[in-house]
This record gives sequence, C-alpha cells and structure tokens, in this order.
Amino acid sequence: MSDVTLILERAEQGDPAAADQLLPLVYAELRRLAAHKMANEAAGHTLQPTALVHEAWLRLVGKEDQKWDGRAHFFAAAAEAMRRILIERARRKQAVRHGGGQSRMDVDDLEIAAPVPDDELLAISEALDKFAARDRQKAELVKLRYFVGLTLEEAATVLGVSVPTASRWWSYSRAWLCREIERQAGGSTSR
Amino acid sequence: MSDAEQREEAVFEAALQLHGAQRGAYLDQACAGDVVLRERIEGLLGALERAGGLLDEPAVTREQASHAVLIPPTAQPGDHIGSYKLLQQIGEGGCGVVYMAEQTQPVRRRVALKILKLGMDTKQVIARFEAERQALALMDHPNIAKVLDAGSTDTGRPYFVMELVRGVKITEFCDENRLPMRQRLELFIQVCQAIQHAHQKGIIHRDLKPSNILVTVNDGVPLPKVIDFGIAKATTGQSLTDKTVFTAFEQFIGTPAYMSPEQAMMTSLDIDTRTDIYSLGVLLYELLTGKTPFEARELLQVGFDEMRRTIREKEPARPSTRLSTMVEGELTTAAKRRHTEAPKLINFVRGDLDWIVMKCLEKDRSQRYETANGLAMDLQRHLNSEPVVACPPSAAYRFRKLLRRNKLAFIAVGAVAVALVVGLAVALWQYTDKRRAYDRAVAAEGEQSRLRRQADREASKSRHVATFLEEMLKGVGPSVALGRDTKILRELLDQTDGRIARELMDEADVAIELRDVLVQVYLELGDYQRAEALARTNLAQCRAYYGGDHSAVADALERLSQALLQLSRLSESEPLVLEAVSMRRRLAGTNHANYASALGVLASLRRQQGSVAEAESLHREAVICFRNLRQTNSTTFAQALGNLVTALYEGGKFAEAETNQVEALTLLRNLLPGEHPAVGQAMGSLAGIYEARGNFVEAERVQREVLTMNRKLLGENHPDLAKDLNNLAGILESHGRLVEAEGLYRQALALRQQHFGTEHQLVASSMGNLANLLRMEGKLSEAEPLLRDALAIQKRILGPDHPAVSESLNNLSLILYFQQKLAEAEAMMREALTVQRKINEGDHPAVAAMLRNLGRLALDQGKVADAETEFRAAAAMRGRLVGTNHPGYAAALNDLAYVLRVQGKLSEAELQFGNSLNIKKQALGTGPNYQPARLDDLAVGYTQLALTMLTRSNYTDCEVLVREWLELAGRAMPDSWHTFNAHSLLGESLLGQRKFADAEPALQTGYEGMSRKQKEIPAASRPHLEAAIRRLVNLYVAWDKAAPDSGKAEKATEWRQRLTRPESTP
Repeated sequence: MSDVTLILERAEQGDPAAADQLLPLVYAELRRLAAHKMANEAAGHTLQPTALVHEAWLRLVGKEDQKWDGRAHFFAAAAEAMRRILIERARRKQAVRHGGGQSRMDVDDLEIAAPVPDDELLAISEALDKFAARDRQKAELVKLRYFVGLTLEEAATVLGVSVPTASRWWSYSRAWLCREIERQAGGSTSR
Repeated sequence: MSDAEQREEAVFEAALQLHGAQRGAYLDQACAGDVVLRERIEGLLGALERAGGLLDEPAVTREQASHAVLIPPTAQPGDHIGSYKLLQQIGEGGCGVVYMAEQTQPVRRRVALKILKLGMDTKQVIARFEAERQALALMDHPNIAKVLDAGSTDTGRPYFVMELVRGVKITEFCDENRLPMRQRLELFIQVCQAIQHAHQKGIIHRDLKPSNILVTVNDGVPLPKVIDFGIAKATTGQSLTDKTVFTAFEQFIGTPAYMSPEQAMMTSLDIDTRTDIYSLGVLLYELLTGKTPFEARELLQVGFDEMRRTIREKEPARPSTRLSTMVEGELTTAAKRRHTEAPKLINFVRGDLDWIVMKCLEKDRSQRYETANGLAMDLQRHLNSEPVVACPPSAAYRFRKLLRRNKLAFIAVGAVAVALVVGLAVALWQYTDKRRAYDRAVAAEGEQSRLRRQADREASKSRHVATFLEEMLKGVGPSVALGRDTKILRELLDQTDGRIARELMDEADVAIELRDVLVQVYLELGDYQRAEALARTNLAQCRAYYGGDHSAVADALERLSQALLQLSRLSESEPLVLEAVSMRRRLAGTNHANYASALGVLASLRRQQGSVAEAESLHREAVICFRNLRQTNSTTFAQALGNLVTALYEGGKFAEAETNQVEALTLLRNLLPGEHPAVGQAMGSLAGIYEARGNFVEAERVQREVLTMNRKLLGENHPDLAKDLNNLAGILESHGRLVEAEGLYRQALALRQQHFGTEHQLVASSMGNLANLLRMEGKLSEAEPLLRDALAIQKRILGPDHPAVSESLNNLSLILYFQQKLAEAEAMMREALTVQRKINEGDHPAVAAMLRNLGRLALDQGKVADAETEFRAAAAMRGRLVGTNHPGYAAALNDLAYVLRVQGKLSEAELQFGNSLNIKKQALGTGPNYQPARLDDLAVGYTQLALTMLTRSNYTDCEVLVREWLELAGRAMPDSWHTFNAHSLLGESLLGQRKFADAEPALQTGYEGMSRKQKEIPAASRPHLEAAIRRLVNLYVAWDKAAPDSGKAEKATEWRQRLTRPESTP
C-alpha cells in the first residue's frame, strides 16, 4: 500500500494531520508528472491540469474502485497543489514583466493551460483564502472547479454532495468572491 | 459558519430565484428591518451582476492538446524497462514502437516489447489489459502470438510484452514468394482458425490487419501468427471522453482500410466477433487482389467524416471487378505475384470467392459469416470445388436494404422513384431467376459443371448490375427526395451511361446488361428519346459481342422496339419485334418465359396498329405459355395477365378482363403481402374495369380501397395521394356525380398546393383536372381562368415549349370553343399546335389531334375549305401513326367525309364514309359481347354513309347497306334509337326506288321507335327524328302523285302538321 493510500485512509478516519501530509506528496507528484511531460513535449506545449490530476491519482492511489471519500481528500489536495503551481507561475511571470527581466524557462516554468489573466488568478486566489476561512467546503468546490477544471457534476461527486446543492453553493460562492474582489480593487464597492 | 451567515445564504439563494419587484418585495419581507442583512444581500447580488465572466470559466482548460498524442515515445536500445532490456527497434506503427527486448526474469528469453505513444491514459490502459489478462492467458494456439505482460515505463507510457515473432506481414510474404492463390487461401484459412480459437475464448482482436499477422517459416512450412491480441481493446474500449475519441482517431489513422462499419461509427462500443470477420474479409480481399476494398490513401484524402461515411455506406467493388478494372500493368503485376496470368486470376476470383469476400464485408453484420470457422469452411469448400454457402444476398434483402437507405427518397419521389425501383426490381428479379438457375445447376452438378459455370457467370453479372444501380441510387440527393427535381436523377442516369462506357470497357456483357436496365428505367421515366438512343447503342454492341442469336440480343431488340412503340414509330418497330420473337423461338422454343415476353411486345405493337383482336390473342398465348410452364406464381406472370387484361379491356371484353384482373390481383396480394404499390396499381386497374362495366359501386369501392392503402403506405398528407383522389374523382365523374368529383379534385389540388406551393407542375395539372370538370358542369366561366392560371404556371416552370403547355393550350381552346369564342379558340389551338410541332418534328398523335380540332373550329366558323385541309392532314397523319386499320383513323376519315359532304363533294364523301365504316366493322370483330360505345360508333358510320348515298340518290346501294346494318343491329342493339333510325333510312331508300308499300312500314317502325326512344337521342341528333317525319310526308306526297285519291294526300297533311309543331313530348 502506497504512502498516499495510507494517508488517505487516515484522513478518512478523521486525522487532521493527514491532509497536511497529503498535500506535499500530491504537489510533488504533480510537478514530477508535469516535468516529465514537459521534457518529452515540444517547446511551448501546455499541460492539461485535469488530465494531470487524474494521472496523479492513478499513479499515487491506483485502483479505480477507491472509495469516494478518499478521492475527496485527494482531490482537495490536488486542487490546492494545482492552485499553488498556478500561483507560482503567475507570480513569476508578473515578476518577469514588472522587472523587465528576460524570460527564462526551466523545468519549473511549467506551462499550464490557463486562459485567465494572471492578475485575475492572483486576485481570486487571495479572495478564496478569505472565503475558505469562512466556509471551507464551498471554497473546496471553487478550487476543484477553478483550478482543476472539474465540471459541477464531477466536483459534486468528489465532495459527496448533490448536484443541486453544489449548484447553489457555486452561486453563493461566486457572488461572495466577486464582491470580495471588487472590494480589494476598491472599485465599485458595496452599498 | 455562524447563524447569521447561514441566514444570509438562505435569503441570497431565495432572492436569486426572483426578479424585479418580486425580489424587492421578498427582501422587504425577509430582511424585515435588518438593514445590515439587506445591504449584504444586495451587495452579493450586485457583485454577481457586475461579475461578467469572472469565475465563469475555470483557470485551466481541459481540452486535449491535439498534437500531444502524435509525438513518438523516446526510448533507446539499451534502456531498461521493468525487467526487460531493449535490444533494437523492430517496428513502428500507428500507436507505438516495437522493440526486440530481452527478459531477464523469471526466465531469460527474447520478447517483443511495444511501447504505446503518448495520449493514452496509462493506468486505464493497463487496468483494462489486466481485466483481460486471464482470458488472454487461456489462448493457446500455434497461430497466435501470446501477450505476456503489460506495464508502464518511467515516463508513464503503457507497454506490452509479447511473444517474439520473427516474421513478415502476411501480404508481403505472399507477394514476395509469389504464392499462388490456393496457397494464399490455405494460409488465410489458418488465420481464420486462429481467430476462431480466440473468439471461443471470448477475445476479440479488433485490429486485424496485415501488420498484425506475421508469417514465419518453420522447416520450409509457412506459419501465420496473429499478434497484438488484447491490445486494441485495452487502448480503445475506453469510455467516450474527448480524449478517447481522439485516441481512437489516432488508431484509426493507422488502419482505416481494415476498420469495420460499426467501428467507423465510433459512437458505438458495441463491437463483437463479427468485427473481426469484416477485417478478415478485407485481408482476404487484399490477398486476392493486392488492394483493400477502400484504399487507405483515398480514405484519408477525403477527410475524417467522409472516410467514416464511406466505410459505413459505400459498397466496395467485388474483388473480380476490382481486378478487371485495374490498369494493365497493375493487373499484370498482381497476376505475377500470384504466379498466374491476368485472365486466369480474374476467373479464379470471380464467382464463389467474390461472394465469400462480399459476405464478410456486409455493412449489416448479421449478414456476415457468424464465425471465423464458417468463413474458413466456406473457403475450404471452394478449394474442394463444393458449393459454397456464400451467395449474392437475396434480392429481397438487398431491396429492403436499399429501401432502408433511401427511405425518404423512395417514399417521396413518387413516380420517378417508382420508375427507378421498377428498373431495379426488374434487375433484381432477373438476378433472382438466374440465381435459381444456378441453384438448380448446382444440385445437378458433376455432369453439368458447364451449365453451372454459365449460370454462375450470369448470376454474378446480375449482381454487378444490381450493385451498380444501387450505388447510383445512393447519389439521389435530398432535392430529388422531395420530389421536386427529376433533373438530378436524369443527370445521374446519364452519368451512369458514361460510367458504363468508361469503366466497363472490358466487360462488354456486364455493360450490355447494365445499359439494358438503364433503358428500362428511361422507359419507365417516359424519356423515350433517350431510351431509344441508348437501346440502339446497346443493340449494336450486343450484335457485335454476341454475333447471332442470343438472349441478350433478343432483349436489346425488345427494348428498342418498346421505345419505338412509345414514340409511335410503329413501322420501324415491327421488324425488330418480329426478329426478337423468331430469335426467342429459335433459342428456347415456344415453351419458354422469354418467348412469352416477346409475344407481349408483339402484342403491344399489334394493339397500337389497331389489331386489337390479334393483340388479345397474342397476350392470351403468352399467358397460356406461362401456365404450361407452371410459372404462374411470379410477378412476371401477373404482368402478362395484366397485359391480357388491357387487351381485353380495349376489346370491350370487360367480363373476361375482370376475371383475369382478379386473378392477377390475388396473385400479387400473395406475392406481396401487406400494403404494396404494385397491389395498389392492380386494384386501380380493377376499379377501371368495374367502371367500364358500369359497376360504379364496385369501382368506387375498390378505388377507395386503393386510397386507403396508399394513405397507410404514404401517410395521410402525402402528395402522391392526389393521384388516387383524381382516379376516384374520375369514377364519380363518369357516374355523373360531378359535385363529389369536384370536391375530390379540389382536395387533390389543395394537397399538392400544400406540398409544392403554387409553382409546380403537378399543381398545374391538378388545376387542369378541376378546370375540365368545371367545364363538364357547364361552369365555363370558372373553368377558363383556372386553366389560364395553370397554363401560366406551366409556361413559367416548364418553359413555353413543353407538352403540358401544349395540352393546356389545347384544352383552353376547347373551353373557349364551348363558349363560342371561336376566333380566340382557333388562335389558341394554333399556338398549341406550334408548340407541339416544336416538340415533335414529324408525326405525332398530339399533332394529329390538334389538326383535327383545328378542322372542327374552322368548320364551325364556316371556313369549310380550311376545315377540309386540316381534316385531310389530320387523317393522313393518323393513318401513318396508327395504321389504316385503326378506329382512330376511321374517326379521322369520318371528319373528312363530313366536311366533304357539307361542300357537296359527295362522291369522295361517300368513298371516305365507306372506308371509315369498313374499319369500324373490322374493329368490332365478332362475338356476342359488343362494346356499346363501339356499336354506337358503328351506327353513326352506317348512318352517315347511308345519308350520303341518299343525297346522291344512290338508293339501291343504300338499301343493301342499311339491310346489312339492320341485320347486325337487330341482334346487337334491337332497341336502340339508332336501329329505328336505320328502319327510317331503309324506308327512304325504298321510297327512292318508289317501293311505296315496302317503304311505309319501315318508315313507320322507324318513326315510332325513335319517338318512343326520343329521350335517348342526344340533342345534336334530334334532326334525325324530324327527318323521319319528313320522310313519311314525302312518302305520302309521292304515293298520292302515283296513286291519287287513295287517301295518301290526307296522310301527307297529317304528317306535315307534326312537322310544323315538332315533337312535343307526349
């Protein structure tokens, strides 16, 4: 039984430390996978986060018939890992732009297919941190959808909630996050 | 989460469902003074409204990067993968690279290791492989290379380990060693057996192709080995995400030529053993011909969707056809590689092997071999020269298939599709017959192998024909299917003609047969010019190819004469028909179905020449021939019966026509159960016979049944129903139920307008029908504008020079004529004639009819000399068209004689009336069941001639004539007013001879009878009654002069008084 499987079982049994241990493992695996893929692909190639997370799951956990609970923990970790990867990349790119320095690509410069502007990504990530402090589960939903690219149905399955529930959660979360981002920007403030 | 936060969410969610004032009202109530809550909710809602696309899309995309899968894996010899060491690359295919590798544990051995390209979901691939590993392990067959292991490389790519086979592709092996056909088949049979073994263990290969079937040589004996079992399933049977579809596509690129139709669907995961049978069929095809049914290169060129469509729908050429259509060098090479010569190669493949391959390649897998073993056994039977199971699929099946594929076209095209279907059906029936001949020959094999070969060739030829036609029909586009455009269809036919010339240069016999079917289709379509031209070409080709007597030559002769018959070129047609009949007699004797059919054509000729009696006896002979042959259970026999019925109908023998038509209908109902167009047509004919017998009740009942059947066949609202409505209206019309008929014609018109709008030929023709009925109802002022509208539509759609335009001009002219607008009517009739003459340069029935109409118009306007000119021209043309024995010619002569008499040209008038009468007498024939209309017509002929003779004071001739007439009339129509008129005419001829005593009773009988029957006398013929009185007056005046004071003067006065107050009905 792999480390990840053990950790997942512990997380399922309610060990709060397990999730913290899971994240670095998943993060490392994602980076490793991505690096492998990048090494074998033509330059400028972008990776598919959704496929990447699925593959990481298969590699780390293996069996398809794993209980969904375990999968929820895993995907939560993966979503967080993917968010970090994306944020790192966005920050680095901003640093390059703002500093006027030269674009330097190495294995760490993973080109993840991300269509949204970097500053938006950063803003959402920041708002999401605040939201997670208030409502962890809804924040998980947003991460799964936003950073892993799961559909509402897939995310609902991972989180073990019904699709209508996930849908209601999504509306509220989106409203909350948008309002928060407006506030940060100091633009159109709430009345 | 606090209670306040939960409350905030609940109110937010509820408010989100509401809009505008409702939302405001809800918030007023829900927040109930809680200003903070209200502000937060509105903040959230506002933010959402202003969010734009924010968070709408994930930060990451999930589309598959398309080029990722095409990058080959990077592994080098010397690399270690699991417990395998790569030695050298030995192959590269669509989905991966194959290495020879060395296994170190648990045993040291050489293996083949295949690393799949990127784009596969490694874990899934391996999981799927694991699922099948047990089944794979059960396979143990010398012709199957075992799959030993699977795993993933460090870079996450799946790999498979297999038994190492040092061989070459089966196709290369065969070609390089110049393997003769028999050995190729033996090798292929081994492959089938291997596949059978796998199928029995529940394993489907899914990717059979030459590169997966390698041949090794052990001790000089070639041994085929099937490799890659289990890999296709592991790599393609995935749930359908974008990714897997793409993966499947990638696989596809490697092997489209071998992909089965069900695999090409790609949405279907329902693959079974018959998929492998299909691929085996492709392989066999390639082993036989060197080509795949569809060339991979061509498939790829046309694009992905078109490629899939081709595999799913296009019927490939038979292997023998493929060979015979190769360019010279290619064919020679193919033959050389098979250690034989080109003609021998084609002969070897043609027949059994064609059918075996085509059975594997059926689009409908239920029609393929059930098992690989079945295929192997059939090949073995062929090698042993035993009859094979594979045969051209049944005609019925192909027809059903064709119907299914062209459903829309078949239902909607109406006449055109029916024509094509008929053409096709003819081809298929012929082909079924030949197939039966083949079966019979097979049964009596051995001594009759020659017969068998011949039948075999005939059958495969017919199959080719049917396939070709089918292909052609597939091109029928949606516009044709909607019944709006027959142009495309005709283009298609013309193209087919071109294709025949180009593609079948070396297969003259197939070309001839195919062209023959084309001629039939053109005939059905009514394009007789085209049919004639093509039939003429075919006849020439036929004579060149077959030399003297041959059944195909006779076919061609019959076809050409049919076309000529339709074009009313009777004299040209006659020698051809006679040649066909005598050739058939020489070929197969008089006791043969083909002879009977030839008689049918001859009968049609005789009928058109006016020899109805001869036509009838010929058709009767044909029917008897079929009965003697006991071939009375086929549609061909039903058709022969139908022909006889037509002849009987025309000869006025309605009772016999009815009996035969009932037999034909019963037969067709048995042969074609349920609703079927042919049954409907036969019922329609029966309705026509009932109508002619005056049995309007039955006629109406049957015609309504036809309507019901076609409503079922076509649906309530189908435009083709208009035709049935028209026929029903026709029955009611002749029954005098004009109001009902008008309703039906209007219904038909509405149906067509609804489907075709106003600008359509059929709409115009429906308007024409209605206009005609309105004319009969005397609603001339309503009929005229309607027909003018129809004419305008026809001119726009069909152009000014079209037969339908000419017909409408003609009919409109007649409506004007009935309105006594004679000058305008004449102008219009001249226009009609001009149009018709542009269409038909020489003689044509329509031209003759219009000339006659023009004569009538001139006559009514008092232009007697003009009338004579027109009538004379009309009669001459009619004579050339239908022969001088035809009732139609008699009518034309009658017109001419009439105008001659009016002008006082009495001797020629008498001559022409006499000629006319003689024809009518012959046409009447003998026998008790005279047709009433014919008798009336004859009576008119006698009357006219008699009157002319009387005008010329030719009393003795007239007496002889009228006595002859009375003898016949006394038997056939003793109580008709015509007969009493004859008595009166006899009286006058006797009076002329001053035989007063004899004249008196004749004149009195005549007058009394006509007086009694005066209600039956048409208004136009009322003067005959008046003439009868005048004759009596004349009698007594003359008698009084000859014998004064004998009381005749009083009688003269008495009759004269009746003359002054003409017959008021008592």
